[in-house]
Amino acid sequence: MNSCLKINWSGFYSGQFYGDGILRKFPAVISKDHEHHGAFFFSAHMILDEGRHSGPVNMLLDTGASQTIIGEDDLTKLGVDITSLPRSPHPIAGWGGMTESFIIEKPCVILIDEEKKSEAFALDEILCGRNPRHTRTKSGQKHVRTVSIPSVIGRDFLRVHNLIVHIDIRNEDVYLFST
Amino acid sequence: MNGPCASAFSPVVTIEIRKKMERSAKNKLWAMNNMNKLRSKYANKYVALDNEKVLAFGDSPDEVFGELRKKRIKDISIVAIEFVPEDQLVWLL
Repeated sequence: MNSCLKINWSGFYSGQFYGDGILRKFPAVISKDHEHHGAFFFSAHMILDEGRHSGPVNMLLDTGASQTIIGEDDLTKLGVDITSLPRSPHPIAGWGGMTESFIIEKPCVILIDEEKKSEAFALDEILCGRNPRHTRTKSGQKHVRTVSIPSVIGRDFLRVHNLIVHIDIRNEDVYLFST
Repeated sequence: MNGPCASAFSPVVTIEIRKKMERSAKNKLWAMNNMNKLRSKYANKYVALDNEKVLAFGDSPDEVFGELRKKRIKDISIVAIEFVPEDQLVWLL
């Protein structure tokens, strides 16, 4: 495989493929630790409730997620009580099971591009996933364990804003591209 | 652009926003890169981290937020709240 032609993928997303529009690169923050094998996230700033609540939110990219989610912990950090939100009829389902979700209308997500310029991405709605509580019995005693729901960028975000995903873990080169 | 997204383009706001984003990301990254260190002291606990320091810990995020409130931490938005698993986990997400 080492003898294979090396492709400059950044060049691939150039004008000839995507017209003459300027492509903006939003780099991910990548972990160098062994345990996470190059885990990455996007450092975002989220604005909720018409600007009444805002703050930084670190978001995983989850191409398996149909919808963008803010986790309950991140919501709390922005000063929003999850019980003040309207309940969604659709629970969130994942490998860890299901949990109830709440609707946040008209949020705005800001990302910073590689030239340190910000771009704001509006969405009609995102969901907030409540942290599920699992009860287990150990040595005859019941323990309740809370599992934190992470904040994730889902496919709705990529689709609505025409974003292209570039992932090259080995070279620590992970970007979202917007045209 | 109208609505809350419009304010994102004010340069003054952007500098403040960027500083907070960088601090928040740095805290999360530090937690990821130092999980073994955290595990030796805080296995199976939730921890609140800022500037390479544990500000609070507890059995659930609610407990941790309670501790942060007690300690009157001014801006919790930049604090990383992380679960420290007892064993190395394989994450699906």
